[in-house]
Amino acid sequence: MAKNESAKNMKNNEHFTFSRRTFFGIVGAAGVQVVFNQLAEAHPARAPLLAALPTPKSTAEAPATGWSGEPGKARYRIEGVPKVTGQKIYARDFRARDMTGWPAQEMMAWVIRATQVDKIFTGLDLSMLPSQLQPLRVVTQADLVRDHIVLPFGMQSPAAWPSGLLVAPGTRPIFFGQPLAILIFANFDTFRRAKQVLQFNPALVLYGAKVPVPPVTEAYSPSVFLTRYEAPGVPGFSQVQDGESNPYAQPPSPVDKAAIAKRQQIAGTFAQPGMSVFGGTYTTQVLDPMFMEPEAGLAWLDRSNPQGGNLNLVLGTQATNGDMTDTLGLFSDSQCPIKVSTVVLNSCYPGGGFGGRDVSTFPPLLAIAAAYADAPVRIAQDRYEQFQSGLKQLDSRIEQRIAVDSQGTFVAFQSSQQLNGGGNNNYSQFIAMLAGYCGLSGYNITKASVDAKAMPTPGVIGGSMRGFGGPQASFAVETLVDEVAVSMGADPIQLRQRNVLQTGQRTITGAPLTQQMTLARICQLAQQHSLWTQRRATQKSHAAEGLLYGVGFALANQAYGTGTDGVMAEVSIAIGGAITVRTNCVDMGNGSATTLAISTAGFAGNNATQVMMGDAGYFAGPLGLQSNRGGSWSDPTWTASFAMSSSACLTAFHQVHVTQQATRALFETGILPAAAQLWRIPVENIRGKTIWRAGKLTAPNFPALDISAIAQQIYAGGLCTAAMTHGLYQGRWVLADYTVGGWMARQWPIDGLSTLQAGSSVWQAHSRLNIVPPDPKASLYGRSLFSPSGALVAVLITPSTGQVQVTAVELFVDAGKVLQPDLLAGQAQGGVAMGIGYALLENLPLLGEGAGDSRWNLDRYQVALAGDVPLGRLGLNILPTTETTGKGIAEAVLCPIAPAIGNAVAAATGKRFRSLPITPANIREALK
Amino acid sequence: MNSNTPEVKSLPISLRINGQLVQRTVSDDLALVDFLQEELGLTGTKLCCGIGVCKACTVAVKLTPQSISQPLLACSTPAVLLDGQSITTIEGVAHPDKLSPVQQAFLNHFAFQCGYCTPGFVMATNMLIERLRIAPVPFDLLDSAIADAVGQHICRCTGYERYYRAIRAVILAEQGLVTGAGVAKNKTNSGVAK
Repeated sequence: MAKNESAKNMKNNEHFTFSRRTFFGIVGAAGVQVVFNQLAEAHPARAPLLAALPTPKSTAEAPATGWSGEPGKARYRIEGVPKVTGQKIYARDFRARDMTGWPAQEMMAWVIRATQVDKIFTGLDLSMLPSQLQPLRVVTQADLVRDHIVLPFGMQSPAAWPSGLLVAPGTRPIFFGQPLAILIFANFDTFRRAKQVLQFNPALVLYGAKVPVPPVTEAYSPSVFLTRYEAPGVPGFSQVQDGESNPYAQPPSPVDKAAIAKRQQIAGTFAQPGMSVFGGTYTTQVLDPMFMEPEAGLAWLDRSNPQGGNLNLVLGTQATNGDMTDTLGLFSDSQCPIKVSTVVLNSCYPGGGFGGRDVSTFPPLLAIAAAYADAPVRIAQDRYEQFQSGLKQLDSRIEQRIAVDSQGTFVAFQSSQQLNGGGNNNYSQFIAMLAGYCGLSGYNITKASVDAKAMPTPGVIGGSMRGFGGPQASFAVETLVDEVAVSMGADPIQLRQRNVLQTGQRTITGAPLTQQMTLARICQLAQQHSLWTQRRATQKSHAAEGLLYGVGFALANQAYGTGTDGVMAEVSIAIGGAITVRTNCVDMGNGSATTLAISTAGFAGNNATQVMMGDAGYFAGPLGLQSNRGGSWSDPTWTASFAMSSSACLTAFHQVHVTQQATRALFETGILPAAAQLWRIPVENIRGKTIWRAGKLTAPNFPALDISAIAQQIYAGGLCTAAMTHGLYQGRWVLADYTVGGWMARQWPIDGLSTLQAGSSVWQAHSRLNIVPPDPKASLYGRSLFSPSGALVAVLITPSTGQVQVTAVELFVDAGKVLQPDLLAGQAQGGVAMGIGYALLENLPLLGEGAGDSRWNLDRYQVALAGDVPLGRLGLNILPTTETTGKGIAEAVLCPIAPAIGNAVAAATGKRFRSLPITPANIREALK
Repeated sequence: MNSNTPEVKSLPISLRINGQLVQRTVSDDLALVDFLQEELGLTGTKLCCGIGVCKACTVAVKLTPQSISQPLLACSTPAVLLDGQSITTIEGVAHPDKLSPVQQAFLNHFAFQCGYCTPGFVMATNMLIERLRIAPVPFDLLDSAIADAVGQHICRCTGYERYYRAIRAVILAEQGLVTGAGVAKNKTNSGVAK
């Protein structure tokens, strides 16, 4: 997800404080070897069955010769074989008996949740269970209060509403799906049988008097208020130029007053002669990320250490750092009798994420269960529970208007965005913030204001989901722009092309666009495509069959990264020459592991053989960096953001960068000196003169060296065997000079470097000198990295049923340098399917009838099936680029799909739909 | 005790799983997916919706060793109903160092991302191929045969396109599964790595 803003970074920084505790990162959701060998093979029941495996009846057996292709390429995913053979790699797969050193017997925990929010919760009635099915323990809010359990940042209630991880009897649940109590059962069988009795049983949860739900008037803080004003001859105004402003503040500060004045001028623009004004209200619905693996995990509080327990977690999470620190934070109060000194995170491959595992509410509940159980405990949610509790995409209501002159130039724009979150903040406010940043889509509108806020509701908690506010804003703006075109009789793509952002122009925050901006090129390509040029002829031919046909277009200028991005990687070489990448990020399926594995090829000439992912606690000590609030770049141990949650859009540019730089460090301090020793020449004589060819290091007049020979010399010569880098991107990479041994690198795009010598276990952190920090204004950019995209979508509608079939999609995306085409295409195709679901299928009511009622499953919540996707008619058009780095495109490929579908439906029917999803009933009604 | 308390009845069952005889006494309401995961440690069969919609938990069952495999939803089938039958799960399809053509094709086409739905797709595709060996389809009906086999399987990540390409490729690569014109022309990718 493209997320984060300065405020969120502050939050992340607070999360990542390692000063008083020791962290250990155990094996991550790693390459094949780590997870499979260390976790799966411990399984007692597996080996006998494997031994009896029948020989596969294959006819054209293709031997699996390994995932790695030529250097820099993959034949298939590095973790592909475990996935395609059903090995244990997901958190849901593991049991206590699989875990080395854990007691084999595990308990089961089950979270009971609220289905009503307008009555007092009075308690649970477990009397319907026979004694042998009774839980061993019922964890209640009274336990948490007594033990001074601390609420995580993302589980705060709206102002004036009661807060608590669980609901105290005698109080009102504040949101649907709020945890009421945690039942801990002796084993799986007891749990299963008890759950059969209790689940959906209206007698389980006791409610008392009906009480009114108090209205909420305050948004989750902070809201965002953006004002941009540029006009010839008058002083301009923007967040970057003038600082953050709030035109509603009382009393207003000078900058607030300036914003008010500019907004008055913007409003005046709408009344100018010759200006056409268009606008309205646009809404989108609540979505569930619907990742395939319902959240599950295993935890054990090992109390054997008298200094404080080790809390062991087995999780599939996108927020490795956040979950670890949240977990420690639960027990951080000095009066808390549950002493936890160490959190061990066994980070598994998530079975899908889409943002829904980014600081989910699940890990804290699991940790709480472990703290109150006497043995390892597992929570394995079923799909009903996942719908009832999992993070949701916030719905939106966007009121906006645009002023357009007679030439079709977008002159002024005003937007008020309200996104509805649930009963805890989670990341709702930051999602609204990104919706605000996306409030003008990809258009250069110099007189614009956008307000964006996330309002609390009693709904299920909203949080990260793919796009992070971008899809909501895209639908609103791209639908409006299409309406403008229709009203003015303009070609919708030409109208867009006239107004798109160009390199050198500025965003709504006033951030400069320094990247190559390809939105206009996307418009050109779309206009030339046969799907567009032949749309009217095709419409006529379908009309003869009684069917409605239309083609719609939409643009997006979705950001990737968070505005202030702290990323890290370690690259090491074993004595046999095998290269390993270690990272704190995880691979939710987006291909991070594979991409990082091939990212070592540039400097090490070979792909990594192993990628250890999700290793959240490993880096802080060796790098010696911290990101405490109030720090500054003059402090050589400070960085603006140490770590972030994993999102699909952070791999291609950010994670790859630090992996490449760590590989470079290893090359300069280990590989090259070793080669020089083998070639018996001073290293300075060959620095900059070597080339990797087919995995071997070559230099003029010297024999090519295999990586294994070089590795042996690294170890024999006591050279660097591993390097660790940290990078900070805020408008640009932070630069600094480093000296390692006799080698000095000037203006290197990293802000932290450590190396490890052969034979040593002590990392050496290298001083950074002559640092070039970000532009002081960059913290106000909001976003500065963008992946322009656009989509042409064709739909065919049966008027009698209102059924919409997407018959073709042409997706245009500027992905920068393409690293692994298959992974890019898979992301794009998946984005199209998800966009179809968003536009036409998926829908959750926000409140009482929504997912919080515990009755939602895939029989009611429809996601796109193969038949909903235009198989074989999904074209991916990657724009040519001169950029040398990849871009994060996970959201860019999704954002234009829903508005393009809406615009296609409008082209087919002549009716405009301003709300998602567009259902057959909506269409039938409109066609009456 | 409340009248809601279910009667617990345990029954002995004997069945073959991935070729091995398994004998256990199990509750009559224990779903096959729980039997596989909790009793046998076979977690390759995935639980997603638990109500038979998403097909992630698809396994292959044979009434007799001679009968053709049928898809079965492990999330909503009590294990006791399978007494005497033979079950193949994803763990029984191949060994990690000797993959089936379907598995290799899924890898080569980058057909999946998170991979949680993959075991179900592998099982369903294998059974489609098994059926095609007995009753080949004309080339122009291949796509609908694929849709019949996996069209209700949910994949949230990759948008189906790459699964379908892989399945077509692996079917067309095997002689005799598809008849009629177009087979040779479309036999472009056998599932062998590029």
